Amino acid sequence: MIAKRQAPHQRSNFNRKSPGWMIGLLLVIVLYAFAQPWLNKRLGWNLPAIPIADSSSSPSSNSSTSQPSKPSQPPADSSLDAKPSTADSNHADSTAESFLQKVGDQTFRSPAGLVYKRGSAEGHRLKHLERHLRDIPDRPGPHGVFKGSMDEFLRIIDAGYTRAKNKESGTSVKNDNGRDEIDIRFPSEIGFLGGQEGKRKGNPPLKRLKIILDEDSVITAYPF
Amino acid sequence: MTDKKLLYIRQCPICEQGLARPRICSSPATQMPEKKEPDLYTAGSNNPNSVAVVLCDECEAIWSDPTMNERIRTKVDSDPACPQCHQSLWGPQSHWASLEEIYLLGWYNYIQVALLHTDSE
Repeated sequence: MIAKRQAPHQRSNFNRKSPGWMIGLLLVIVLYAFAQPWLNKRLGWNLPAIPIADSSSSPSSNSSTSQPSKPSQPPADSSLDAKPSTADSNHADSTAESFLQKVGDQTFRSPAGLVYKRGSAEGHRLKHLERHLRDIPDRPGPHGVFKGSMDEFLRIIDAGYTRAKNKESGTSVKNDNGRDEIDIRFPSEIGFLGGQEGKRKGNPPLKRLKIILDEDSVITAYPF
Repeated sequence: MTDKKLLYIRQCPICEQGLARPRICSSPATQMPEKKEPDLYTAGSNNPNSVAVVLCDECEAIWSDPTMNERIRTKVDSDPACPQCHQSLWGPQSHWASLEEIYLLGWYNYIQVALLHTDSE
């Protein structure tokens, strides 16, 4: 009974003291925020940081416009990296997801049966093909550049190979040292002539594709 | 953007797209115990057992020397192979010849130099 009667009084008393109590709590938090890194550093403790620090960093990350562009930069850089590495295989994996089927360690097969595996100066045949997705204006001689993405390039290689296999018009196959050199003519342009020769000629459009195969393994492919 | 020297002999006569470039294979397996005197074929690089060939960086055709009269037709698992050790010329034991190696080979007069302003060969 007494307790029941005293309860409202205690509650009101608590409410009256609450501003001071809150200030005290805030002071403790602020002191802890300052002391925590120092204590961790000096005494080797592992005291948790106050979440205030996280909440202050997240708005800044939201407000910074450079943050979203960061994730898009590494793939662009890695695609230019010519060294064979695990990054290459990661890239090959991502390319394979869209069109190719992984059939072994760093080995991929296209729907038409073409195989892309390790090899070339770049470390992987897919990596070598990437070189034909952009111009190298200073490279001596011609450099065939495909107009489109890697996925589109792989699809057009497959389409050209299928046409040549069916001996359709506009295709020819020549054998050199056990390797098939397949020429395919397309009705419209698929790329342009780059390199020093292309620059000299004003980068004319190209309508033909050459695929060099060792059995079913792609050695290279490029517009010419 | 970096400048890179690309050393080559000439445009590949097979694919007419790639560049024929001196490539060195330095595998220990390229030792030739019968030969006492190094010849033009093996004189390159700091390793006396290295083998030098000319390799197209596009279609991977191989020649024995910079005159490019004699084709080499060794292959291993779709890769161009060293005529001595039969290992892939894309393996870690091989590399594009440096200017110093080309000079030691006596191939200097065949070489052209292109300066690439990109980060790719």
